[in-house]
Amino acid sequence: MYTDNKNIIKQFPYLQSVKNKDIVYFDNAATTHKPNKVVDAICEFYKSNNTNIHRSTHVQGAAITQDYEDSRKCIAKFIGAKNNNEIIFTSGATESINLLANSYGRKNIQKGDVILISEIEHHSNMLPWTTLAKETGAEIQIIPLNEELMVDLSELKLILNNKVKIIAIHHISNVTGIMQNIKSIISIAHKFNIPVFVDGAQAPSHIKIDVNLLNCDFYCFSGHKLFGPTGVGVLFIKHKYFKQLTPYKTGGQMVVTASIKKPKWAEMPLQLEAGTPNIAGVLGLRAAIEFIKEYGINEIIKKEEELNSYMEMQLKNIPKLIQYGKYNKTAPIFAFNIKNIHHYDISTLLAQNNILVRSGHLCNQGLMNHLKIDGCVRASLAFYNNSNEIDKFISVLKKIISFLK
Amino acid sequence: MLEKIEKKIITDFSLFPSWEEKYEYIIELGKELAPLKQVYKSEKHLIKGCQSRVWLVCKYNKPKLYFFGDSDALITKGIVALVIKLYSQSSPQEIINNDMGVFSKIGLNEHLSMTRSNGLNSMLKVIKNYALKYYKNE
Repeated sequence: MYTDNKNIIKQFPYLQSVKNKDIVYFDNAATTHKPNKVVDAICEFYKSNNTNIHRSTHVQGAAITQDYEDSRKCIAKFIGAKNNNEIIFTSGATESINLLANSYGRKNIQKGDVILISEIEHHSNMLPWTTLAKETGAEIQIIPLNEELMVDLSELKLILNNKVKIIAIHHISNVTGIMQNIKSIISIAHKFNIPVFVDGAQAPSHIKIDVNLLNCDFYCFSGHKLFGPTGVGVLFIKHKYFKQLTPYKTGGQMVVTASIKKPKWAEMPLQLEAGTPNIAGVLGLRAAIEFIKEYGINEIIKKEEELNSYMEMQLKNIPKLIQYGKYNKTAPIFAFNIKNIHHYDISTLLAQNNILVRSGHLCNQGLMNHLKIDGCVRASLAFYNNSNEIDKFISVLKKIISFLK
Repeated sequence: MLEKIEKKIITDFSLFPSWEEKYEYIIELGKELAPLKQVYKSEKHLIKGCQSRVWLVCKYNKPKLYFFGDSDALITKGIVALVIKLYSQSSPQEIINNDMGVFSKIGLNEHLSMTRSNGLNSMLKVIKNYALKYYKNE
């Protein structure tokens, strides 16, 4: 039924360890595991190559600076960015969005302007914008959705005008795994000269990203959801916006002339990377991307399609299961409730049986309100999961349901 | 009194070898819990920091505190029942002197790893605060 994945598992120390041999890890939308390649890259840096970057005169510092900047090049290529300096390293998707809202946002959005977001954004792609709106006097407006939780493109056209200064939208939902039609949203927005920010936190571990093809203005993702380390992320800013930015943090290496009256900021991207960055994290992220390239994103997509259809088929056998966002699912992320049973009880008992999922509002209270629920269970899979694990999940779920009745 | 109940709970839990049985017992405790009047299921009595909704009501009838509660999740309701079984009908002084370590002793803390989402810690904090409030007023 399902492609043998023993060779994949061998590459992930967490999945290989004796301690975790009985664990079914279905919490990949929260964070993914790291292949040996990533762990080794981080260890190697601290063990043999630890120096600071961008400021040393010694050869060792220059070599790591080169590695760090090569990583930027590797990431630019991975997401289809035309220029390496369009890649800004951050601590993760959350910081990327806060950076954008505070840098681009503060310089370009003012009282009376409109920021468009959907009502089903992760809190990370909602709160930076609502905070910005509150502080600048701008207004938040909601992007209309259709019944399948997709942006309603014809409705979107109707609410765009010259007051709208930015659209912020997720690529793939952290709750349902549904992918938005980003290319069309951007194409409509650009007719009104409105830039679009895409929150790609859940995307690059499941699909091929091409910011050039999407023609998006800003894009972000986190390392740890992409088989890379925690504490590192990326913000892509299209070159044409460089002059419309203001530093978000100030400090070392982001300034050329540190004059008290009139400081001169460094060129992009260093202008937005004040202080010593997460060097090990960046090198680890590059290793994660190399891992994906070696494995092949198309192979990942193929495996996830198999997982998606197998899980869908199995979920149909669970009585009283209500699944949210069944259509247009791209990532194998499954959100559900069982009628008359609390999601907390289900996830707690799944955990007792070594099946790790998440439950609650999943940092997306907007979507919960939209669905008129207070939370749900989320089983989120990655390409290294397999059909045996799905079978175990389903059988335990059935047992739990009869236990809780 | 509180110490006696604490010992009884530890003994009760030791009777169940597996966590499946322990959970069954917790859920059973929840089902036996006296229903909480609808009027008390308000924002005022809602415990913050729980994934499920938990209400805890305190009545002071000198010299003892009485607790009532409910939750919309079965396991959490069982934990509410356990907390009530333990602390209701104790004096503020007794509660203040209690180290609230019984939950670690029965392995509940360790097993319900998500103590933040099940709200056990929040419940215990609220109970301690009630005890402190009435102790000061005594």
